[in-house]
Parts: sequence; structure tokens; C-alpha cells
Amino acid sequence: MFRSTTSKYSSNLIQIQKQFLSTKTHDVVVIGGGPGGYVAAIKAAQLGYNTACVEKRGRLGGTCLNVGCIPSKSLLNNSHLYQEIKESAAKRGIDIKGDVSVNVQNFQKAKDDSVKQLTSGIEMLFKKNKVTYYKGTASFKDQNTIKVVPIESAAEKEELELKTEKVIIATGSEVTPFPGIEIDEERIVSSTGALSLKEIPKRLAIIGGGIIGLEMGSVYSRLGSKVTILEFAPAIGASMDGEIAKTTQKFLKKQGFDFKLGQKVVSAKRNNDVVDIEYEDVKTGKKESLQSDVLLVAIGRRPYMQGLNAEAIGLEVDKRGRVVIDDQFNTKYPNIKCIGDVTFGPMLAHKAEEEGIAAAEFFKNGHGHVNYNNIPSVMYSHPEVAWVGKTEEQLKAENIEYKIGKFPFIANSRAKTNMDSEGFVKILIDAKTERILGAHIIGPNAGEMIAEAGLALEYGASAEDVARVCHAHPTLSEAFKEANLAAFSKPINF
Amino acid sequence: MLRSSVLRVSRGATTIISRNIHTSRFLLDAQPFLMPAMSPTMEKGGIVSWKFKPGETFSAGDVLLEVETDKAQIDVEAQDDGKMAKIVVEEGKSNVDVGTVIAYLAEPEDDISSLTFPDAPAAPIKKASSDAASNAPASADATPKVSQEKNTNENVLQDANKDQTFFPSVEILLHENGISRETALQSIKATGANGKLLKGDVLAYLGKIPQESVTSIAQFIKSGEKLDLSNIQLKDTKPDTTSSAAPAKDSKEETASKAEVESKENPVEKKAPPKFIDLEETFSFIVTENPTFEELDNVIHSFIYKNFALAHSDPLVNTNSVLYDPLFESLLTSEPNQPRFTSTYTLLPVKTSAPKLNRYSKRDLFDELSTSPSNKFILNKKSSTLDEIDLLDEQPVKEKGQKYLLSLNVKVDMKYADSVERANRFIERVGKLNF
Repeated sequence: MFRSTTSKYSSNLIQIQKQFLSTKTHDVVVIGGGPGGYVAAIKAAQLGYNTACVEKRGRLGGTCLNVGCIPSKSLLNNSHLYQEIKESAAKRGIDIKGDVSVNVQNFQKAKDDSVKQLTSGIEMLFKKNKVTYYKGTASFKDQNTIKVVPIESAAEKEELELKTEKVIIATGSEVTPFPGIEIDEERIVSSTGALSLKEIPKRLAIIGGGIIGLEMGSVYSRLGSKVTILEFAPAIGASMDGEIAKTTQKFLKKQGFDFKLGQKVVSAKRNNDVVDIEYEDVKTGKKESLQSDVLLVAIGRRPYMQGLNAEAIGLEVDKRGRVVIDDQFNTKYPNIKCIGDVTFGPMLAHKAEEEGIAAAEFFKNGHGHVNYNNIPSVMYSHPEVAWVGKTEEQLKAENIEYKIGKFPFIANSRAKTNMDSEGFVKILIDAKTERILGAHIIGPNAGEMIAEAGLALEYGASAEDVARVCHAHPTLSEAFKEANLAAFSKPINF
Repeated sequence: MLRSSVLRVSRGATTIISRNIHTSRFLLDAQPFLMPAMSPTMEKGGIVSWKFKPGETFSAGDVLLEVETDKAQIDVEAQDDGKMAKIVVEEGKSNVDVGTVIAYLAEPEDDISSLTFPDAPAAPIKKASSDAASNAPASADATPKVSQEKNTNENVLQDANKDQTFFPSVEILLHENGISRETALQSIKATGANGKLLKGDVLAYLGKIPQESVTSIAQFIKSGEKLDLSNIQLKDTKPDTTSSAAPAKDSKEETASKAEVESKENPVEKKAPPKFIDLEETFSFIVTENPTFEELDNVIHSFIYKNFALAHSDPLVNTNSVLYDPLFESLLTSEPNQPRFTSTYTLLPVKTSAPKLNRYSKRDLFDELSTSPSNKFILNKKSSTLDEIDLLDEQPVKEKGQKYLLSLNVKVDMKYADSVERANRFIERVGKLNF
């Protein structure tokens, strides 16, 4: 009788709960399956946590693997081979009968195949390490509850609610749009669109002389595009050492790049099959215009948190959209950590990976290790550019007395025999203690060689310590050794 | 080892003297000579003997004085020619702080009587760094600004890790200078990771470079190991409108929560908002069956309790709306498990003959109830009403049924933006009580 009244309400309550999806429980939920997220998930699982990773792209690997570092490296490597075959085969004694040409479709397919293999490789790693993988969009309900709305391709069609003790946010970054320029990914493209152009543009204009712009410029320049770089700053290469940046510019100019530095892009409009760009000189205000077949906007990336509802649980975000963390990656909630592009520090895949591992370790034993002094950067142009530690400019600004050791690849036997001897190794050491403070390499295989510099920096090695290590002969790495020798003493071979 | 320490001291003297030569302003000034540090860790030492009397000239390489440390007696040499101008700390003194002025030196050709002695610092000249036993004040000139600012921050000198493999440079330096591995591990302070001895550490120990340059570069490097999380400018907290599912509701909540935030931030400027407000409501209903008061009270209790729970768990917006998103709602709710209000009620049977009670006539009763200290949902029976009920039980009402009055008092916790709305819903729900 009376009870019926009340039970009507309680059944209502049950209905509401039913509407509230099925619940899964985990120890750690990682939001984002990019280089930071998937590494954090695997590490957390290895540390014994019941771990899940939520990714809404449909494929793991994040920007890096899908539309960033990896596909661009495919294009860079293959376009480099093409250029080598075309331009230097003859002088190497290889005669090619018939035409050498690029098959754009297969060129793209080679890239897609690599990406596919690598992304499915991560899924295998998840299975191996028993990480539960949810293909869906994660959003915060409260600090321990995450709703997952499955994406179309997901096998699971039901919405889920994940109850979790700990969360790692690794949602990454997205392309920063240029105010007033609409990206259609056909004629006006971001880095994503630039990776899959259907044809090689005759003219390619690029806003931004940073790593992304110069790498994509290199690809299409090798394939025959006339590349123009429009950069607001008076120099290219963003955080590169000044001398290295100048040398890079010189080499790329020789390859056919047109650099317009200190230029501010005012507008860019697509007119059918061309893009009209207007820009003005930062200093003089002189206006000029440029027509291009494709315009690449590569002015940087910004933190990405769409759909996460982080604001709703009150996660603090700084003015540039980065999630505020402490030195243990904690957000304002101690059970929610945040790593990678979406928070502070350089936006680099390997930095995110390190942080992912450190975050999982912080959860497990309250200790993790990322040395922000020692995060290498690599630009895969040709010659490659790689650096780690301080630049000359930084040392000058900090009033640090330093010495320079330099060794050119032209004096390196391997580089010489490879007929690939542009560039040099530059080592910066403290004037008194001779401790290595920075290493800057422009030259063949710089990206691989920089690992040695990283190891030296990590252990506080002096230039002498590197110079006294036996390096195989004949290798490019001897140039690195000789540059160290030059820094504290004198090089042998130069 | 001993020789090297001496070397270092004489370097200090050298810099002092050479500066004297080149700086005309100081030409007539005697140069203070400070108590040298014979090892990086030395803080105090004794003066065994002075080898020169005031007025005597010495040349480079002469032993100026003998210094006693806790480990050994060490000769301190001059590397440049000069003249002893004045001895401040006499021989035989022990426990002299490193950096204290112990004598004044002058150029060989200076006339001591015409020299001026700069004021001797009362306390030992402040060491540039708390951890660097710097005996060469001149080196402070070469010290980069940064290190001076930062070097009080962190101690970068550690005891050497006993298990380490030496860097090749360290190995060679130790060998060249006849320092055993054991001595090195014991007496050289390390600036490398985990107590790793670096080339610079050994160079400083050997006196080939100032200790200051080792600590300053170590501090510079250490300062960059962590992300710079200072001076973070927070973005104004705005709800994510792009993902907002219920815009209207959203803005309402936003203003409420904003007000909440503001009141937290500027507690002084704002008049303190009431922490609690009381809501009262009286309902009347007729029960046609004849339960005992206890039965009825039990039912009412569970009914109110259910509604209390529902008022907290139910979404505040129209759940049929396409814009409704339970997740979003719960995200907007702060501390969803905290009660928004507490409630007490009084159940009163009404005699049919009695004049109708309205909600205002019972005011004093509510006032009394509202002061209840308990936070929890409270059942409150007034014993006075029980008497009436006993009476009524004896005279069961007719077919028309018994009329009851339910007075509800709700104490709303104003800490939460949604408290009032939830409390009103609760009252509304309870008002639907019908038998």
C-alpha cells in the first residue's frame, strides 16, 4: 500500500542506473594511445596494474605513428633514395637505363604499409602485456570514473563506464590553426594533409620554418616541387643552435628551397587550384604576394583535450591550454597524472614516452626519472640535424664559459667514401670542468649519432671521456669522437 | 696531494697580486690574504707558523706559512713575488675559519708605512657558496651571475659512490697525480649522477680549476633537469562548451560554480553568503485506512528517506531532452556524494474538529527543529503530538479517514550550487505523498 509509492521511486532509480551502462574496473586507465599513452599503459601493466588504454583514433600510435613522425620518415627516406638514384647514381658508377620516376600511389602505399604494421604491432604488445584496449572516446565523469563511448569501428558497441583508481592523461596535441586561414587538407593543408597529397605540387609554400615545415619541404623538394618557406622569425629551425640553423638553411637553399624569413603571412586564400598568399616584412611592413599550388600550414602544435571534459572535473589548464602538473606529473588530483604534448615541455614523442614510463613508476613506487636536460631533437632533412643539451645561445644567455669542439664530416673517412660528407659535429663543453653541455650534429646519420651524446650527457661525461672511448673505424661516429677531442685538446684527423 | 693543494692556494695569491698590479686604485692598498682551504671540505684550520715577518719580501715559490688541517700540516707557497705587509692572525692559532683575513700582502716595492689596509672583514668573507670551500675570493669575479643566484639552492656535492667505474679522464688524472682509488673516493666530492666522480671534480681537487666552477656548472645543469613549472598562468576556468551537452543548464551551473569559486577566492570582499538556509513546508494528507501512528510514521520515514536519496541522485534537467547527458551532469556536480541538505519532519494528526493548521502557525516548532545539530537525515517525533495520537487511536476516525499534517524542515547546505534546487525538488516530491 504505502510501500508501492516508495517503490515506484526506487524502480526509477534502478532505471537511471541501467541507463548508466556497464561498468569495468581497472587499476590504471590511460587516456590516449600515442607514444606517451601506449608506453605508459604497457609499463603500468608490467608493473602489475590492471591497465586499460582508451584511444579514439581507431589505431594506436597517436599522431606520431599515424600522421606524424613515422609516415613522414617513410616519405623522407624514399624521396631521398629517389633523389640519390636520380642525381648521384651516375657519379657512383651506376648507370640507369630508362626513366627514374616516382609512382605517387605506391609511394603513399609504402608509407601506409609501414604505418599499418607498426600500429598493429602496438596492439600485439597490448595483448602480450595484458593491457585492455578500448576503442572509444574517453571522458571524465568524476576523478575515478571514465565514460567510454565506442567509435564506429569498435567491436564493442555499448557505452562503458570505467571505474579506476588511477588515470594517466596522454591526449597529445593537434595542429595549431593559423588565424584566418582555413585548412581544407587539399590545397591548404596541415602536416596531416601534407603526408598524403595525391599529386606532387609544382609549387609548395610552407608557413613555418620549424622541423615539420622543413621536413615536408624536403620531401616535396626532392620530388620536384618548388618549395618556399615563409617564416616569421629571422631564422629557421626553432630551437636549433644558431650556427647549425644557418648551415641547415645554406644546405637546403642549395637543394632549391626559397627562404623568406622575417615575413608575416597576412592572408591565404584558395582560388580553385591555386592558393594566393599575402605576406609582409616584419620590419619594413612591405607587402608581397605569392601564388602556390599547395600551402602547408606548419606553425606548431597545441595541446588537445577535446571531449575529455577535463574542465568539468576542474583540471587546471594554463593559458596555452597545457594541463597544469607538478614535478611528478600530478594534476590537482593525485590519482590523475598527465604526460606528453598535452602538458608542459617539448612536444616530442620520445619525451612523452619517457614521461609515460616515469608516470607509471611514480604510481608504483613514488619515483620516476626524466632528465629534461637531455631530450634530443632530430630533423630528418638531408643532411640530418640532431642536437641535445644546450645551444651556444643558451650558454651565452646564462653566462656560462664554454669551449667548442668541431669536426667536419669532410674529414671523416666513412662520410667521404659514402660521398655524403656535408656538415659537422659541434660539441660544447664547460670551459673549466670540460663537462659536455651540448652536442649539435648536422650531417649524415646525425639522428643515430646523437644517442651517444645523450649517454655522455646523462652520465656527466667530459669531452675527454668520449674521446677516450674506442670508436669503430671507419664509421661516421668517429667524427663525434674527434669533435670531443677537438673540444678539450686537438683533433687527430683534421 | 699536498703539493697540489699548495698550488691552488698560490694561485689564489697570484690572482690577488696580479690584480693589484693592474688596478691603480688599489695600488696603495695592501691585499688581504685569506685563510686558505686545503681541501674542498675544509672549514677551519690552524696556522702553525709564519715564514715571513712583516716587511720582509718573498718571491714566488717561497713558503709563506704552514697551515694545519685535521689531517696534515701543509706548506702554503706564494707563486708571485711580494712583501708581507701585516700579519693579522698570529701563529699558533687554531680553528681559523676558511676565508678569514689572516694577513696582508703587498708588492715587493711597496712602502709598508704608506700602505692602507682595507677594513678587515669581521667575519670570514662569505663563501660564495655554502658548499664550495672557496679560498680564492678573486674567483668570485669570474663566477657567472647565475651560479651566485642559484648556488644556495641545492647542494650538488655528494660523497663519491664507492662502487663506481671511473671515467677514463678521472682514471688518468688520478694516476698522473699519484692518487689512489681509495683516497679519491674518500676525499673527492662528486658532482655526477649518483656520486659519479667527474673530470671537473678531480681537477678542482687538484687545484687546477676553482671549486666554484665545478659547483656552478653542476648547479646550472641540475637546474635544467626538471621541467620549469614556475610562473604558470592559469586559464580562466570555463566549461568546455564544445562538448557541452546541455547549454542552458550549463550556463546556469557555470554562474553558480563561478560564484562559488569567487567566494572562495575573495572571502573578504564578498559578504559571507549564508552557509545554510532553512526551507519549511507543511503538507496535509488524508489516510483512509487506519494504520497505527507507528506504521504510518515508518512509511513516511522510508518515503522521505527514499526521496532524500532520489533528490540527490536524480538529474536536475529533463532526462528526455536530446541534450541530456548523464555523464555531463555528473561531471558538473561537485562532490556528488555529499548531502546537499538535511531534513527533519514532524507528523501530526489533525483532529477534524480542530482548526486547520497552516504552515505559518507552526513557526516556532520549525525554529526549534532547525537548530538541530545533527547533519544527518533525522527523524524527529515530538512527544507532545504523541499524546494526541494516543487519543486518536482510541477514537478511530470515521470512513472519511484521518487527516495528518506533515511538516518538513529542510536545512540546505549552501556550499553546493545545486543545493537549493535539489532541496526544492525534495520538497516537491514529498508533497506528492498520497495515500
